[in-house]
Order: sequence, then structure tokens, then C-alpha cells
Amino acid sequence: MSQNRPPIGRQSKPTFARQVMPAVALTAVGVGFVSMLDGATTGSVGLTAVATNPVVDPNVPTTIVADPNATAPAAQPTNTTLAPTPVQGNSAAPVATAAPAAPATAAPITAAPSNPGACDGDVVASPSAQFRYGVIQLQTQFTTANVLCNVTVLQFPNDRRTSVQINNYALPIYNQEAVQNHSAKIRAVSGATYSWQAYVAALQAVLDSRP
Amino acid sequence: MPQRTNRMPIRKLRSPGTSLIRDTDVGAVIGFLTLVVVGMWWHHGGMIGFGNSIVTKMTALDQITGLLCSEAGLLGLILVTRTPLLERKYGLDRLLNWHRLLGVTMSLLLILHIVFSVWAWSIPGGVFNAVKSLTGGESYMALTAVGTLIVLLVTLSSLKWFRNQLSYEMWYFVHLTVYVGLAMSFSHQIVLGSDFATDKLARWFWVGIHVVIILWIIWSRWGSLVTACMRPLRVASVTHEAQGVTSVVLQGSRLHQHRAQAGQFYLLRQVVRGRWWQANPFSLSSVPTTAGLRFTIKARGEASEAMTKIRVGTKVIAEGPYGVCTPDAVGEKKALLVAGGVGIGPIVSYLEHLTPSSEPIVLYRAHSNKEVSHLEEIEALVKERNGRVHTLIGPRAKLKVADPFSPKVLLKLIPDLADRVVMVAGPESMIKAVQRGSKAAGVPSENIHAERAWW
Repeated sequence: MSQNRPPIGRQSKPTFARQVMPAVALTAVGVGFVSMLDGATTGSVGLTAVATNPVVDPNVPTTIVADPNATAPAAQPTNTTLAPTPVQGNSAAPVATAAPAAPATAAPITAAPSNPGACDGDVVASPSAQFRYGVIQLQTQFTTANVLCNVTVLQFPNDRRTSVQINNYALPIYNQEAVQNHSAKIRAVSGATYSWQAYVAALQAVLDSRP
Repeated sequence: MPQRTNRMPIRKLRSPGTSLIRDTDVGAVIGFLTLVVVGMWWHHGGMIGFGNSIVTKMTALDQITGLLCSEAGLLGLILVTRTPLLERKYGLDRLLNWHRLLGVTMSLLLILHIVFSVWAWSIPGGVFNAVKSLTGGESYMALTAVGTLIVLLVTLSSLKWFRNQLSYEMWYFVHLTVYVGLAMSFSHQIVLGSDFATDKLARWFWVGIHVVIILWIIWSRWGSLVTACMRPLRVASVTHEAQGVTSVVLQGSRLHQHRAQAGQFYLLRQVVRGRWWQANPFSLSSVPTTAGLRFTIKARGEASEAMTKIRVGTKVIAEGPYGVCTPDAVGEKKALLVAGGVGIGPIVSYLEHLTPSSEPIVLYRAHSNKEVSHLEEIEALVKERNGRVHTLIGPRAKLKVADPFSPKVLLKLIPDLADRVVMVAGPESMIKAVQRGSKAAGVPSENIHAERAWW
């Protein structure tokens, strides 16, 4: 009963192993744990310049849209599906276009003087904006008077179900606001702030590159 | 009055013993948490695109400051568990000091986190929109904003200047609300924090570590309070020692189960209407035995004054013992004990514990003769141990020497000072003076032990 513990404040000198082992063990656990986490290849919003010429020939209004029917995003090897035909209005894809789609018929007016109000000017792809959950890339179109008149989302993160949900909801709203305001002054949609930051960064980069 | 214990021979209480923890273990745990937090941020891509734009930079910074802020908070919470693992190694006063430092660190990181967040979110939309999103627009951010405000106010109330403006009870209850504040802010980490919102493993780890620490607080902090409440002590005697100085002896039927050591202190709360929730630290002023625990208390404030006026038979809840400044530090060496004012209490308990080989020299500093207590007791104890007592009584201006603790004066009085273990109990200013003087006189700093004002 009366066995006494060593007095307070008088610990024996610890061995080297006793001093080092806890640190080594905890470091190993820590490193192991961190490496088991989902690694993100992307960080918070960062813009990567598009290597190819950003100006797309307006005569071939190839619109790339996310597949709205992608129920199992994991099954999709790539983020986006190439749609060979222009999108018809808003109904086809929730993320695609908010403003009236680019020339609905493949009969672009090239020779005739443009109507400054019509959305038939330059089509410009944005740099891809990298952020925590993936990449957002936009395609913008301007009137001949250089006013932003159409925004399409080329790429958005859809590898997580949450991302798809959030972006399907928020991106059309951002598209619409961008076209309405003709600028990157867009209000964030609650719950989609990271997307919003990336979206704005991408759009602003395009606007900044315009004369 | 003592009951069962009287039938048993009086013996010293056993020592609570040392802790198994080493400094390196503490370093390893702090390193582990930091590694995981920074690693998580890094692995999730915190650094990617760091150099690209102001938004990127601010977002990365707002994430890492947020995470480190939480880490500081968690470490601060571990300290309030008062776990014996840490307490018996470092002592409660040091733990509470570190708790204070961590609290301030946490709040500074919190302010940075807020600045970076607002900055990052305001880039296209403006500061007003950013603040709007961060105080309500985003899910759980209204809750978080209130929680943040609480945490900042609690830190503010603990800064020296504000602390002195507040009554103890006011400060205490404000301080307790920090748990509410932390819980409210926790929500946004899980829902919006990009490290946890999408990474299941990280989320479980983060929630898990919080749950473990909360359970630890309940088990260790509240558990010790419950234990103390279940075996309350009673005031067995109250003795007037000197002007405003009183000795109180506490007795309990299960005192023989306690472990305590001379030089430790307890948090005492009188079970009297209006006082039961107030716990104040008091040092033992004799070796704790099964016959009772003696505390020498000077009426310095409202709470200690109430303690000096306590009635015999009053129930007292004693949490503890705490503190690592014990005469065990002397070991086989000789001792110099320096007491200032009511600091004489712990010094008496050290003396009782020491063996004759320590040849203790006691320096007793007091402002007036009326303050002097336990002097005969000390003289008797010192005599038995081949030591001597020097008293330095009178206001500072009237002393023969300007600084009674200058190395010159100390060495003249105690030629073998450098070989002695110095133990000081008294007011902060005197502790500093003794530490400075004895260090200059050649005492290695690991041989200088100080007990701060706990009475």
C-alpha cells in the first residue's frame, strides 16, 4: 500500500530512445495519416493560361457542355462531353448557356456589317481557373461593340457529387448575371463561393485581355 | 472533529508522485498536431497556385491561419484538463500561464483568419459583400460570427488590464462562455472548411480529436471536482497567527486516502451560501498528514479575507493538490529558503520535510513585526536541522542594505550559497530579486525554485 512513487519533479534522466521514440512514432502516424487523405491536384483559385489561341473562330461555334445526364460522374473519364451541335437555348444543359445561344444555325454572317446588338463577335476561351475542388473554364462571346453577351462553362469540377450539385445550380446563375451585367461583377450564390471565386477570376481574366 | 483517523497513528500523506511525461513528449504531441494540420492543408492543395493571384494567396492564408487557430485552441483546452500527466510535471501555475499564451495566440491567428477571409472574398464583390457572406450569407456563418465574437471577447476579458477591471465572478462566467463560442465556430469548419467539407477522413479526424478533448475535459477537470465534492473536508481549527494572518486546519474522514506533498497547494471553496462556486488557491503551511491539512492565509482580498473568517466545522471542498515546487527538489543538497510575507506558509512545510543534512538557512522578509507569523515554529524546526534563521523586517527604505537580495549581501550571509538549492515563496517582485541575486551569486538556475503567490 505504501509504496511511494518517485517524488514530484525528480524524474530520472530519460534514455535517448525514450526521448526520441514518441516523436518518431507520432511523426510516422502523422505522415501516414496525411498521405491517406484525398489529395487535391488543385489548390485554391489559380489561373492557368490556355496554351492554344484563346480566340475561337466564331464561325464554328463549338460549344462544349457538361453532360447534364451524367448521373455517375465517376464513370465519365473526362469532365466534359463534346457536343457537336450548338446548344439550343437553356433547356438542353443546365450549365451551358444562359443567354440566347450563339448563332443557332450554322450560317454565320461574315461579310455583312454586324449589328452591334447581336451576339456574334469574338468567342474567347478563358484561362482555366484552378481552385480547391477543380477547374472552371469559361467560353465567352462578345458583340462587335466588345460587350460581353454570352458565357458558357467549358469545364467545371464534377468528380464529386456535391460539386456537380452545387455547380449545376450556381453556374447558370453566374452565367446569367455575367451577361446581364456585362462584367465580372457577380454576387456569390450561397454555398458556391469557391466556384464563384474561380468563375470570377476566369471571367475577369478574359475581360482584362480584351482591348 | 477528527473521527476515524484518530484511531490510526498519524502519518504523512503519501506523495502524489511524479509524472511519466517528458519535455520531448510534449514537443512530439505539438509537432504531431502541427504536422497533421499543415500537412492536411498542403496535401489538399493549400500551396498550389500560391503565387498566382491575390485571391489565391489570401485563400491559402485564410485556410492555414484558421487551422492553426484551431490547433492553438485545442492545445489550450488540453491544458485546462489539468491532467496529472502535465500538472505533476509542470505545475498548475505554468499550465495556466501557457493556457493564457495559447489563448492570445489563438486570438491573434483568429484575427488574421478573419482579415484574410474577408480579403479573399472581397476581391470581386467588395468588402461589404464579403462581410455579408461571412456573417450570414454562407451556411453556418451567422453562428460562427457570433461564436468568434464570444471567443474574442473572452480573450479580451483575460488581458491584464480588462481582467483587473472585472470582478472575479464576472470574469469567470464570461470565461466559461468560451465553450459556447468554440462550439458555434466549429460548425463552419466542418461545413465550409475546404479541408473537411469534402474529405471524409480529415473530417472524422477533426471531429474525433475535438470529441476526445471534450471527453478529456469532462473526465479530468469535472471528474476531479466531483471527487472533491464527494469527499469534502471540514474546518477543524482556526488560529490567529498575526495581523490579518490566520491558520486553518482542514480535516476529513478519508484524508488518509489523499496524496499530497509539502509545498503543494489546493483550490479551496467554502460550502457557504454565495461562496461555493468560488475556488481560490492556498498553499499548505505544514507537511500534510492524516491529522489534517494546514493552510496559512493572509487577508489580501475579498476571497482570502472570507477564508480567514471561516468558522470551525464549515465544509470545504478541496481540489488538488497542485504544484511542483516541493522540498523534494532539495534532495541530498543543502537548502536556502526565502520567505516573503505570508510566503512563510509553504516555507514552514518545506522545512518540516527537510532532513538535518540540508542545514537549512531561512531568510524571512516581512514589512512589519505585525505580519510575522510562525516564527517560533520555524526557529524550532531550523534548530533540529542544524540551520539558522535571518529575519529582514521593516519597510524597504529602512533596511540597512539597499537590496537585501544582491549577490554581495547574499554571499556575505551565506558563503556556501552556490552549493545550495534555493526555494523562494513570496510576492512576484521578491521572487524576481532572489532569482536574480542567487543566479549572480553562482546558483545554477535549475537549483532555484519559486512558489508564486498562492495564498
